[in-house]
Amino acid sequence: MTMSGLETVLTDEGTESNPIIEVEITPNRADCLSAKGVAREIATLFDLKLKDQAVALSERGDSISDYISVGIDNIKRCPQYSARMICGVKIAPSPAWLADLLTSAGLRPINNVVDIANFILLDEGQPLHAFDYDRVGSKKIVVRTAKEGEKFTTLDEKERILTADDLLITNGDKGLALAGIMGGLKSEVEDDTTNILLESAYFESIAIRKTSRRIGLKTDSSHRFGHGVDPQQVSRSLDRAAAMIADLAGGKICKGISEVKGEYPPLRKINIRAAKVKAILGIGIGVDGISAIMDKLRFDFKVNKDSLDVAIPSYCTDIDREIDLIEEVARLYGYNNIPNDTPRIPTVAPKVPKRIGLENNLRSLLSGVGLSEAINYSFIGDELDEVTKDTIEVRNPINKEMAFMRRSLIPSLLNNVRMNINKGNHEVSLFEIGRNYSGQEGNITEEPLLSVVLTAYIDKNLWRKQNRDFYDIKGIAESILSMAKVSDYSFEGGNGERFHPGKCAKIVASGQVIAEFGEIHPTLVKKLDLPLPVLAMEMNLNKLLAGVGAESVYKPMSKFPTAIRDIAFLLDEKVTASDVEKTIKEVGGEKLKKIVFFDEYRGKQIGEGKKSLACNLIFESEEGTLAEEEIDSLFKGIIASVEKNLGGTLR
Amino acid sequence: MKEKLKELEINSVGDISSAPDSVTLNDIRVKYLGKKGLLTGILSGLGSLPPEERREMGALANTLKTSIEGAISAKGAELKDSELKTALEKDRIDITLPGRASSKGTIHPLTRGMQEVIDIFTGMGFSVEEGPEIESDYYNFEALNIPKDHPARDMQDTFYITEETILRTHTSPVQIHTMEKVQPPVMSIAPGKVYRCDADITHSPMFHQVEGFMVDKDITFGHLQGVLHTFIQTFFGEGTKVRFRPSFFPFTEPSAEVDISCLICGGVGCRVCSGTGWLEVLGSGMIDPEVFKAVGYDPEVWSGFAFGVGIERLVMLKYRINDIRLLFENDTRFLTKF
Repeated sequence: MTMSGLETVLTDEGTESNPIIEVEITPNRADCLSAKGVAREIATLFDLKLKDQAVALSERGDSISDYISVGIDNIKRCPQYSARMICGVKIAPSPAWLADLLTSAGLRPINNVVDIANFILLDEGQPLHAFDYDRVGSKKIVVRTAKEGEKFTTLDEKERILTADDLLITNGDKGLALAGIMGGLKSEVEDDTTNILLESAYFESIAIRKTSRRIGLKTDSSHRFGHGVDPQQVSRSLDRAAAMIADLAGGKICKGISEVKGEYPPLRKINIRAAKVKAILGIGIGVDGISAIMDKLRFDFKVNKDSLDVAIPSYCTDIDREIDLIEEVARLYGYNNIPNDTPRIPTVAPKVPKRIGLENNLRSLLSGVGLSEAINYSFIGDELDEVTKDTIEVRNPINKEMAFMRRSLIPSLLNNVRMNINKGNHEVSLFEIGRNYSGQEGNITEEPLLSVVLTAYIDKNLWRKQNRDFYDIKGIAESILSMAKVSDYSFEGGNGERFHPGKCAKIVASGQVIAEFGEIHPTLVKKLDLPLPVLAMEMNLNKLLAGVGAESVYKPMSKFPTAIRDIAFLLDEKVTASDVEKTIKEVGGEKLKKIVFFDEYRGKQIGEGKKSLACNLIFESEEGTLAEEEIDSLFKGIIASVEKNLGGTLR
Repeated sequence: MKEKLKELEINSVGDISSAPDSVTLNDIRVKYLGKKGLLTGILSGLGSLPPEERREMGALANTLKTSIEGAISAKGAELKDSELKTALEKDRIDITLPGRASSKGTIHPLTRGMQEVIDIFTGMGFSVEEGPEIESDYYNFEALNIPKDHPARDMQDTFYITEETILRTHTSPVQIHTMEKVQPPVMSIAPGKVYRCDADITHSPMFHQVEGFMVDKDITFGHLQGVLHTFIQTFFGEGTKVRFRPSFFPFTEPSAEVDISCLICGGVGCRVCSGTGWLEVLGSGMIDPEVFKAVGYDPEVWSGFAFGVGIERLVMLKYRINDIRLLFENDTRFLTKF
């Protein structure tokens, strides 16, 4: 059965003589929502004969029209409503066979009458409803749509507010049951009930689903009506149930059925083409092959030259179109009997977005320098990230901590840091590549980001003496810019919201801010209860991609040796390395190839508000070895310029 | 003279062989062959001898010179060798101390799994497409033949932003966007994050999928089986058994779930495969004509298949991870295992 569409399992409950199998019914197999339906499927698969249960009913009571009449206000919503009466019953617990059967199917036995109704639901697939006739309050049953705002209390003691889309079974005035879904509190069968009004009806499926969904109430009944029950079962189930009630609970079945019957939509006839079967499935079984399968299904059909006209039985609520019949052909032919084939593939190189290649390179780079990739949920709570008008809120979140869509990856990563430190992992080096989400409905943007967090703490294993700091994360940023060949970038001061205002920077490339990085603001670190500083960076990958430069072109290296001079200046605190570099470059000219800062020193000997900055100056010329005098002269010029423009003194 | 040479020979052999180090050896060389060396002296004294004696003595002396030089050279090499050995031994370090800055960075197992799946399909010719994670109800459901109030919606619990804006529950909407942009033939995959309101040991509110599709004239169910069969053999290994089983998805008809022989027990039956011997890994099917109609492809001309795979499931099976939450906790001890 599993191999033809219904996952079937032999369960551990049940015994050897009474095994219990569990069948998973997918939404497209409403025809199997009953023992009868499953039996039908088994008969199809194993070529067995199908036999309906016989119904022996004797009407020994008065005429039903003495008791009740039925009316339907909205025949489209309810094409059939049929009722029988059984008078003089004795409500009692069901016999063991019935109680056990219901229990094994996962239902709780209640009393003989209610249990019979449930039994028929499980057996035939037709939901029935039993009313206590004496609690109906009138001699009428009227099926109508509810009034807007009409209140009705269902059996589970919840009050429902109805709309004009909901269907009610009423006594002509007040509601008795929410049609097809659940009975009302006031008209149910109780221990003292003696007269049963038994309902069997057909309710239009889409409307039942809508109501069920809206009020959030799903029952075995609404599930079946929601898919569409078999019109042919409605009357038969009523008779069978009535006979069972008379049998098990005593009483006399009244003569006749009180009902209103409208028009059911005509049964579908579908044309299935042999060529289409071949085109979709890849099997050329022809009209004969298809006929054999329709026979197995017990469908009536007429054979044409290249196709069949098939009459779809009333219980197949999910077979609407030719393609649905083709699926029947496939599953009964056996998927594993369909041979594997190779499709014709176009000879064009597959397109992959450039950004994906960039992301993979970033992963290699970052994992290569010791960072591990994290993946966090896209949700965040409001604890670590301010909620603004551009924050997108999830209406039905899993929990409070996941109620918003994150606008930055850093809060999630900081959470990871916190969690890791609590577990004793102090050296945390993580990166994440993911999207951020912001905007308002109709104008939502998702940007791809790369974010990095490092705790200052360094693992003793790495033999480093110092903790990590701003320059470590700057180093990572520079590696990325270098790998991505971003040609034209600069560092500017960052803003001090998320970051320590004195220890953060922005990367600007081609006029755009592409990233921000630095030490996380101490207030935030304290809020997270972290024992040490945290470095972080967030980079926009679309903007990084936009700044990517062209491939490098080879330029011949100079044949002549470089000359290196060291120089150190005593400067005011406020003077930056960048200021010094600019000043030196202006004087150094073309022959000064590189400036490399290698030491920054502060100390008592130097004095308050002062620092020492040391760098290598690397001179080189393509034309010849540089003469000592030439370098000396440049050197002197550099010293003079720094002294004059920056107030620095040579050390 | 002859006796003198003989004496020199014996002494030099003795001196050379007992030289304890290179420095001493050099002193010996100087003693015999240096400017004021013993043999040098004799050689320069050869001129005062009568001619026949000169010739004989000269030959003997030169032979001795060559032999002493050879002995010194050999001994020199020997001494250099053992001196080098001693020096190297002195420099010996404890190699069992840990190395410096061993990079312990890793790529997330979900990324690895995702990338492997993407590589297999791009290798077959599928392009990669992406789409928004915050989607409209239309692209996520209606265009995929899941109208409002359809029971199939119950199969996927949705996160709502507004009535019409949701978090996508699968990457299938990207298929729709793609088919709206291009004309067939087309074959592409859409990897990405998807969201469903569900959380337990095997379900996560956010997870990763790769869905793919192929549309052309005369694409059949047989082609679907062939392509997925190739994927499975490549990802799980040659010889992995595959079976296709009828199922239901609203956007494919016929639909199939694809099982592989259990990775743990090989098909015998165990706890992981609930005793069945099979593990479900993919959903697939022929694209429903309603979906084609929604994007303006004529179902009488074109046909195609679609498939989808959950990366968490694959990764958890492959690495025997038993709790999905581990994948999103980002405990560094867990991450560095990969």
